[in-house]
Amino acid sequence: MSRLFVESTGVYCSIQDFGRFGYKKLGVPESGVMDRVHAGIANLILRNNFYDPLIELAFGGLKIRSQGKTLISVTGPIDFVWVNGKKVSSFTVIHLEDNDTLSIPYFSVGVYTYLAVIGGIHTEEVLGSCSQTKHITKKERVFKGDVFEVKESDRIINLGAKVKKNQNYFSEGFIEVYKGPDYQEGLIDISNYFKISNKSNRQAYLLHSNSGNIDFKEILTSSVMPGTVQLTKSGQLNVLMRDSQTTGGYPRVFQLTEESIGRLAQRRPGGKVKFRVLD
Amino acid sequence: MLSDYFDIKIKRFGSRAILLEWPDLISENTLFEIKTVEHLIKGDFNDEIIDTVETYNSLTVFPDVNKHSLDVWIKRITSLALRSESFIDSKLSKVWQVPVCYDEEFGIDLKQMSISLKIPIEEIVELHSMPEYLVYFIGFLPGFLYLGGLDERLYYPRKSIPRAKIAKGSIAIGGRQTGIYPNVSPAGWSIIGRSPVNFFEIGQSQPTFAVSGDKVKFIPVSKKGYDCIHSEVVSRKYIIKHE
Repeated sequence: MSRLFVESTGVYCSIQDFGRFGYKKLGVPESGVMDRVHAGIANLILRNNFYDPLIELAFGGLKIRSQGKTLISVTGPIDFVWVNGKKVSSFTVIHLEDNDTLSIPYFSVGVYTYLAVIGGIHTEEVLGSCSQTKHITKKERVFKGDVFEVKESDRIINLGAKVKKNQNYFSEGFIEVYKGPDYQEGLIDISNYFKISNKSNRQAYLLHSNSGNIDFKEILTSSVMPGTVQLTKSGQLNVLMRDSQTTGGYPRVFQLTEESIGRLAQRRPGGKVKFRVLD
Repeated sequence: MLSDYFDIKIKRFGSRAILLEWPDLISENTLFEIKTVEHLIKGDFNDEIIDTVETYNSLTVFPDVNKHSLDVWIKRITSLALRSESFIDSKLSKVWQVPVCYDEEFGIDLKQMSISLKIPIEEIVELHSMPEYLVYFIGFLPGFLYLGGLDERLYYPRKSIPRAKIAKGSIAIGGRQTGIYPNVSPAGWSIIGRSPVNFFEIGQSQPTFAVSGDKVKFIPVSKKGYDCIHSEVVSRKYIIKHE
């Protein structure tokens, strides 16, 4: 076994796989990676399973030290990481030797970076998932001083090519939505841009418009899921993300496509997004 | 067809869920219809159903969309027929006896409620611990029970500014509802007591003891009684009683 020691976690860092299923009726959130595309690519670069547990990092600032050899990959909005102070490309296999220090820099576009390790990072599995979630797993995120046991490997993996990063994914494109169960014609104008609030997190992204207050009939508490767009009376939209509650009382006006959940997740607070309604 | 038997609408909900909606009201009848349909769907499609979520007037079904497209699933579910074995025996429902200490040390809003409602604290406790509350569903937080049956004399508005943090096991009233916070959490409801029991316990085969359709009866206990049960809960000796 090799080990990874967490020396600094940056803004927010957690272990995630593709989520926890089968326990929604007990109020257990789904959780799982915010951006499945980039988490999946990080795993595929190492020939892991697409959905193996890995480290999800918001905004950079992670520093880890290795004990023993292992193979990792980093994907997301960044083009490079530092290994012992030397620039190394992301989106390809990175060999860590004993006592190497890897640090993921802060960056200016995009939000979530993924660090996968060959064989996956298998922490405490609770209710069928390693995703760290408040009230479910003992630790709700990664902390400084955490140690992960990982597969020892110096096997050369040759994919033949480095995966190409699509920079547009992190800054451009519509957020595609279906009409939600409580959609009503004329309730909210979504032809304008919405601004992402800095209160956004893994549970929900809050979007401000200048529509002013909106009056609508209250609904009985009903089911919600990642990607559900709730309308509030102040005209703010709550887009529920992976750590979403299972039920909620605001009208569900839209539902993001699975792909758009990942795309929205990568948009920064302060940035603007525009919706496109699918039939 | 399911709609031959029940007053329901069946809708797509995004790309991986189907929403079955009953008329917009809270009733015990609807609850048992929802449970019957859930039982029917799980009975027929068993391991092809990933998740279900019940609420007051809806059932959301997450089928395995890798096996069949969502459109096919809607057809499969819409065309289900009711059979005699689909019905759930409501006699199987349990009445859970949940100990609650209504001491003012825990019931931090009791005094204020008593003044606003003009009801003495002892009477609030009596009115709150009298009914058998029906568990409609679990949601909001892992193990949070949505209970129906609060005496209307205890209806009490939600706080305009929620508390940032309340204790695990807090018993609260918000609007026309009462509930138990299964864990430390922010709360907009007024706190009237605390239960020493665990409402969501990882590691148990069933993390929550109650299921929708069960009932909950609050049993007032003294501070001493609370401490005693709490230490039994901590040492895993406590078994919650039910009828």
